[in-house]
Amino acid sequence: MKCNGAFNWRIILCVLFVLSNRFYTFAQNGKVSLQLEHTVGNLTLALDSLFQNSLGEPFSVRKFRYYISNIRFVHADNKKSYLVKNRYFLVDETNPVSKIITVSIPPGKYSSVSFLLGVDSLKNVSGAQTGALDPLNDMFWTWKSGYVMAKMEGRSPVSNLPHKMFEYHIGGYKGAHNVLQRAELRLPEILNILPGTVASINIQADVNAWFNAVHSLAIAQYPACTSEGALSRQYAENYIRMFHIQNLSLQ
Amino acid sequence: MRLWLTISAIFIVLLIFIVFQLSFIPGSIHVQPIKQRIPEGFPQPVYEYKNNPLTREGFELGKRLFYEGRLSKDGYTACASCHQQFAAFSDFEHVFSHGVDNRFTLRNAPPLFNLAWHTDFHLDGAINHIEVQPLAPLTGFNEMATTIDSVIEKLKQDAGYRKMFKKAFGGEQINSQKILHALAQFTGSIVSADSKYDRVKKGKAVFTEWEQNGYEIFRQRCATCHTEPLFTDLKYHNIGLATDTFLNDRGRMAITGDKKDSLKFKTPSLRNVSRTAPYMHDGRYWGLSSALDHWQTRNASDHTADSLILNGQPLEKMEIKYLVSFLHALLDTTLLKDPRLADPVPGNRIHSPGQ
Repeated sequence: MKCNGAFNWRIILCVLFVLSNRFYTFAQNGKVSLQLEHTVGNLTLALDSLFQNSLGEPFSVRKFRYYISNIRFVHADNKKSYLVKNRYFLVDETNPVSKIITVSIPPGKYSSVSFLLGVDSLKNVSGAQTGALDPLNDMFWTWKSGYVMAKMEGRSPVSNLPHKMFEYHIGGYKGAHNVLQRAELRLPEILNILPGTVASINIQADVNAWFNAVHSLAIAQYPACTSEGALSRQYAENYIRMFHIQNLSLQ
Repeated sequence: MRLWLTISAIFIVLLIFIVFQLSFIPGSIHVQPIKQRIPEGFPQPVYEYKNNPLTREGFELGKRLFYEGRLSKDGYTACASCHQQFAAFSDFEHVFSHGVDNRFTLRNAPPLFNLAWHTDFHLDGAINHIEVQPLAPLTGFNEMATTIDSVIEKLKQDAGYRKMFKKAFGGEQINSQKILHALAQFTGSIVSADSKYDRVKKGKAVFTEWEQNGYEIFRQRCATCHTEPLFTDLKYHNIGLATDTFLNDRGRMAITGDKKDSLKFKTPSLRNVSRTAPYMHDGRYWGLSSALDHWQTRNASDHTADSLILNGQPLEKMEIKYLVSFLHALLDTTLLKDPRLADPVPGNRIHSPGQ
């Protein structure tokens, strides 16, 4: 019996040794979650419920999806930064889990976070993808290759389209059509990541910005924007301003 | 004894651990790699299967999918329905192709070969990668008119496909990426480089006098855009074709939004051109000499046409005859009959005028 006990002990030690080697690099990092909350002004967005945009137009949202990629954390002291490579996240209002984006980052003191709203141009021309980038997610134009970076659909009594609907499918990764924008968000305090730290950054995304930020884009005037071009770029310049950091929390 | 037991136990645990980890490395599935064919004198291909290793199993699956009618709404319209091998994978003698529900496409189906050398696809360059191209015809309402989910669902229900996917990519899971990777393994492997022209270049054949005359005229007058050895510069040109007022096809401009791209279409390869009638993006010309007549009778008043067209001398009647002779020497009969590219399903019931 005693013999068996010692025997198991050694095996456990051995397995632990192998495992610890394998996860050593991960254990050194901390974890940061970007927790997104979709709002209209200060009201929490609820699908198919009536809200009013800051141009005074009533509207309700049916679909609200966008890609986040190339997340970058900037160090407070030197201006170095850490880029989260090759991770693509599809945020979808209908899927609460998608609104929490967790990444692993090395220890350090960080002062700001930024991310690309959309899928970078390189990935747009890299062939068949899977996961968040699977064309099944209905965020890929099949008749003219490229990802829809952000999509919002809904209804508004001021729309002149059938069913009073509005549809914004914003895409384009190349030249004059490029809608890729980077949201740069300064953290309200320095985020100190130690090995094993779990932190969350609560970010508010205000849908209002789509209609009214740099450009005033009333639903009555523009109920649809579903192809690349100048109008898409205006929406992109607007929606990139929808993000605001609410607070940081450490666990 | 106890020490021995312990040491051997540790070894066994380690071994199990290593084997367990190895099973997650995709390379450990048993596949037969295929070397991509790059014909002598061809440039380096654009698509080199970097993220999609070319294997016998992947190629065979891709071929099966290419000839699969279930990739469409009606169950009978396959890729091969409009891209037939005997027509160099173009749609034999069809101005426009027939999609499901008696619908027509709005452009003439291009032949498929040497696609691994293309940077973008379709006559207007709408598609930026060989792997994502099939999504356009699959979902096009006037082509195969289906959805990706419905295709995946149909394939999942077929034990034969589950087996083929497992053999090619490991794991029975079928997803869009695997379907598209397999199709690219097949379409990218269609290589045309065995015409009489190629044999002449290798010193294994001799042009006839007319072919030789044609080749010389070709080199002076056509080769700028129909660049050897692919016989296309892979660029977009407006060759001064009168706009069809019904189709109003603006070509490349619809993709780039740039007025300078109005009426530009991708230069088609001249390889196998004697098998791909009718000609031009809208299939307006039947026969090689009528297509070539365009350069004799073209409307020079269209100042938006490419300068090479505007400033070029019209072709003489005899020059056209010589050119036609030369163009026939670009037919690759090996490609048209290659059993490796043929329909793997005996008695396959897909729409096709050749069946």
